[in-house]
Amino acid sequence: MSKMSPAKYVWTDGRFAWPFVVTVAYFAAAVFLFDLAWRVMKMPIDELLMAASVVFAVSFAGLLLAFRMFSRGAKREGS
Amino acid sequence: MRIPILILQVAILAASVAVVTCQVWSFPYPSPFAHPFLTPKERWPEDQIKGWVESGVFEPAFVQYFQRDPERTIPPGNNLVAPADGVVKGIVETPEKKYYIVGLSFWDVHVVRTPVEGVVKSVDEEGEVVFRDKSETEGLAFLKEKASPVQKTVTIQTDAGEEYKVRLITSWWASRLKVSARIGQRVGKGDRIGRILLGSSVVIDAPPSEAFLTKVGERVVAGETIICQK
Repeated sequence: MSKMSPAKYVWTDGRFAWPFVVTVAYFAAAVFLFDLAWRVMKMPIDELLMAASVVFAVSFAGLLLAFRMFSRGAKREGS
Repeated sequence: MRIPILILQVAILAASVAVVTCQVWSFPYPSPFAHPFLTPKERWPEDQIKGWVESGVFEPAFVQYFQRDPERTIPPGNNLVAPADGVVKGIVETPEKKYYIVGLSFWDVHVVRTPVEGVVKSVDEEGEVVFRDKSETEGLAFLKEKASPVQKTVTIQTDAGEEYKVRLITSWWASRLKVSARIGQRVGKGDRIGRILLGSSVVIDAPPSEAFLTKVGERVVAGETIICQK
């Protein structure tokens, strides 16, 4: 099993690694949407935090799964 | 191929950083990116507007929104229409007059319209006190709340000889009232006669015989809501 350098998760082949770019954009979107939801929905903050945590956990797990599937697909094409 | 991809990636990262930075910078007020998704009241909370009033520096987008002047459909018939957009704050009766008070918020249209058709008899300006006779202000809580109310009063005489006054009232810190009606000008019901630049209240002084249809707390629309059937 080949060990990947942590820097490779950020910068690879003269450009940024796509998982890094997508993760940063995802977090920015999450912050923006949480702020918007807080202003529009007028929910108690504890209830909103609980709901947001569930949505964040599920969507982040989906994102990690997508990265895994994408990297497997890329490896298969490369072999 | 590597360079265009890198440019795209840098653009995505820069946009992400900009979104988060604006969010943090604007907090507790919404970031400019969130403005299109929010109602005016959510977009510019009252505390933020009060801050602008104190500093004298307003956000141009709010000023543009504040100066809107939509067309209105004036109802036909022998009736009185609301002079301003807002909430009916009070209907005060005295033996000589009835005062119909409309309170405007930061989010209401600030164009003032005539409640009746007639001829403009006078346009008066007063500062510091609203009513000359102190006894007249008793029970008018909306005036006591103001540190130093100023007003412009447009007096309109109808063809039947009745006299109505439309008072544009604001506080000293926002004391900018514009009256476009001129003495001797004939005005139709619902015509524009002025504008309150920030604040506050519009009051109709009507004859004591008027029976107003709208109740305290109801929302009225200038030139459209019938407030009295004659």
